[in-house]
Amino acid sequence: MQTLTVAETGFLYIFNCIAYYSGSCFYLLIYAAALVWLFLKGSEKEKDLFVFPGIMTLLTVYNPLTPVLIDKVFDINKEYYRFIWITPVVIVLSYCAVKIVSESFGSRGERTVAIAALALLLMGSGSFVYSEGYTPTTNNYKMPGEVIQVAEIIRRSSEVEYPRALCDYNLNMEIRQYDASILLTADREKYMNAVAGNITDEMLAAEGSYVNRLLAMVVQERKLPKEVLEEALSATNTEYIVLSKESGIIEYLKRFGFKEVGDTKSRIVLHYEIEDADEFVLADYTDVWNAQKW
Amino acid sequence: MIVFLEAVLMTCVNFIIYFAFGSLITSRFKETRLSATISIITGFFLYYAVFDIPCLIIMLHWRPLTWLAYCWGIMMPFIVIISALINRKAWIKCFSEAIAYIKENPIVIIAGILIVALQTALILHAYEFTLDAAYYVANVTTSLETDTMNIYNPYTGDWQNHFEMRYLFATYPMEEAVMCRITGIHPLIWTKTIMAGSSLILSNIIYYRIGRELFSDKDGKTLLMLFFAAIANFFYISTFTSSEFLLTRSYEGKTLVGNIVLPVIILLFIKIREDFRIKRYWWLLALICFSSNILSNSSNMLVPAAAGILMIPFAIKKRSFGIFAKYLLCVSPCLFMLIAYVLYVKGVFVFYTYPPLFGKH
Repeated sequence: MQTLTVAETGFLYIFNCIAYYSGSCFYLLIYAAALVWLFLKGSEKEKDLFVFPGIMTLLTVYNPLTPVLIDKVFDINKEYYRFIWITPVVIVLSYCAVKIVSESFGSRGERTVAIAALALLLMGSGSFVYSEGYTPTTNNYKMPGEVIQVAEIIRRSSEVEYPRALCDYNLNMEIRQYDASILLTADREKYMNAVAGNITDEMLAAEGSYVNRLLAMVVQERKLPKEVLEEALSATNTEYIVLSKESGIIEYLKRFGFKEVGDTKSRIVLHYEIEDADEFVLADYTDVWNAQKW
Repeated sequence: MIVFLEAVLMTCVNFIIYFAFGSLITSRFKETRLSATISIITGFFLYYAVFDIPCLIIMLHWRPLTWLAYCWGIMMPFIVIISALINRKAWIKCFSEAIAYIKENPIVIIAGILIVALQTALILHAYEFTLDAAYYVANVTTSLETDTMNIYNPYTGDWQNHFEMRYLFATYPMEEAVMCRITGIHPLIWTKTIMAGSSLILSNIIYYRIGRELFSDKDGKTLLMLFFAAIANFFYISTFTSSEFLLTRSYEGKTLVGNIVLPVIILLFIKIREDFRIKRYWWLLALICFSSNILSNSSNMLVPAAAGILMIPFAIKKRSFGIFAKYLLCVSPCLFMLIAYVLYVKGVFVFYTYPPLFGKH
C-alpha cells in the first residue's frame, strides 16, 4: 500500500486499508456473517476457536487506533495490511461451508446442489486469481524468454566479469533473478519513483543525481546534454542500456556513441565504451578471515 | 522434462527431510502414534530453526556461502540419518499404516491428491511478474554469484556496508541459496517451482490437519473443507491478501508466514484448547514462534498478534494467568526481534559487513 499513509488518513487509515485489501472481494463481509452465525448457532468449541478470537481481532487489528499507535513507533504504512492476514478467512469460510452442507442437507442430491451453490457463492464473492488472464510460462525459469536472451547478449558482448546495465522497467526487475553477474544502475525504489513521475527538475539538478538523470532519460525520454550524459554514464559505470524498440531515445543514444550489440523481439541492447571505466570487483575478505581465530 | 522430474524429486526430498526432522520431535509423543502430516509440519519449523544456527555463525563472520553449503550438506543428511536410526520402528509403523489407509480409502486419497495437484499445476505453470522477486529471488542468485550472504544488494549487485536488519535473521533465502549450491539447481527453478510447490502442498497439509481436528477425523468432511479452501484461496484475491501471496508470490518468506505459520498457530490452538496443561503443544508453539522469524521478519509482529488474539480470550475465559504467561514466553523470540528491529530503525545499532561486526549507525 504505497500510497496510503496514517499521517494523511489518521483514524480513517484502517477503513481505507480494508478497502484496498479487499479490492473487489466480499470475503471479509461473508466472514463477519459466518462469525455472527457461529455466535448464534455454534458450539462452545466453535466460539472458542473462531468467535472470541474474531471479536479480539475486531478490537485490535481492526481498531482505528491501532495503526495510529504503531505508526508512532515506526513506519507501518506499507505493511499494516499484513495484520489482516491474521483473520482466518479461508479456514472459517471453508469450515462453515462444510458445516452447512453436512448439517442442513440430508440426501446426496441435496448435498451436491448445496456444494455447488456454496462454491458458486465463494467464486461470485471474490475475484479469480487469473481474472486478468493466465500467462503460461514458456521456460523452466518462469521468466520471459527475452530476459534470458538479453542477459546472454550482454554476457557475450561484455569484456568484464560484472557489466552494469540500465534496462527498461520490467527487465530491470527481472534480469538479476536470472543472472546476478549483471549489475544494475538503478535499484527498485529509484526506478519506481521514476515510473511514478516523481523525478523533478530540482532532483535532476542536484549534485550527484546521476541515476535519476539516466532514469529520466530512459523513462521520460528526456534528452540530456552530451556532457551530462557522459558524466552520468561514467559516474555510474553504465555500459549497457536496454530499451524497448519503440523507445524514442534509441537514435539519440546511437548519435551519442552507443552501439547496438544485439536485439530481441521487442528490445534493443546498446553498448557504450566508457574510457577508464572502474571495473567492479568483489570485496576481498582474505585479510578479515586471516585475522579471525578460526 | 528433466527439469520437471528434478523439481518433483526435490519437492519429495524436501518433504522427506521435513518428515525426518519432525519425527525427531513427534516420535517422543508417547500417547499418540506417529503422524506423517504432523511430523512434516513440525519438521518444517525444526529444519529452519536448526539451519539458522550455522547460517548466522558463518554469515556474521563474513565467510562464503560455500562454507555454509558444506556445513549444511553434512549436518542435514546427518540429522536425517540419525532420525531414521532412532525412529526406524516408528517410521516403519507409520508407513505401513499409511499404506493400509491408502488401500482402504483410495477415493479419498485420489480426490485429495487431485485437489492439491490441480492447484499446484495451475500455479507452477503460470508466469507472474512481481516486484518483490527483484529482491527475494535476486538475493538467492546474488548470494550464489558472489559466494557471500546478504553482503551485496540484490537489486543492483553493489556491496553494502551493513547487513539489512530486515533480512539478516530471516535466513530463509540463504537456505534456498545453500540448496541451489548443493544441488546445482538454478535459483529461479528452486524458488519459483520447487519451493513454490512445496509451500502450496504444505499449506494444504495444514488445512487437512485443521479439517481433521474440526471434523473429528472424518475424511469426507475434511476433503470437502480442502476443496472449499482451494476455491476460497483462488478467489480471495487482491494485491494484498495472503491467498494472492500463496498463489503468485510463494517464494517470499512472508507468504509462508501468512499461509503456513498463521494457520499452524490455529491448528496448535485447537489442541491447546482441548487441554492447555499438555506441555508439548506449548513447546511446539515456541518452536513455531522462533522459526517464523527465520522465514520472514514480518513474523515479529504478526505472530505475537495472531497468537495473542487466540490465547488472550482463552486465558480470560479460563481465568488462567498461566496461559497468558506461557503465551508470552512462546512469543518472546518474536518480541525480542521486534525490539531489535525498532532499535535498528531508530539508528541505535547496526551489523556491519566488515569488522567490527557491531556498531552504531
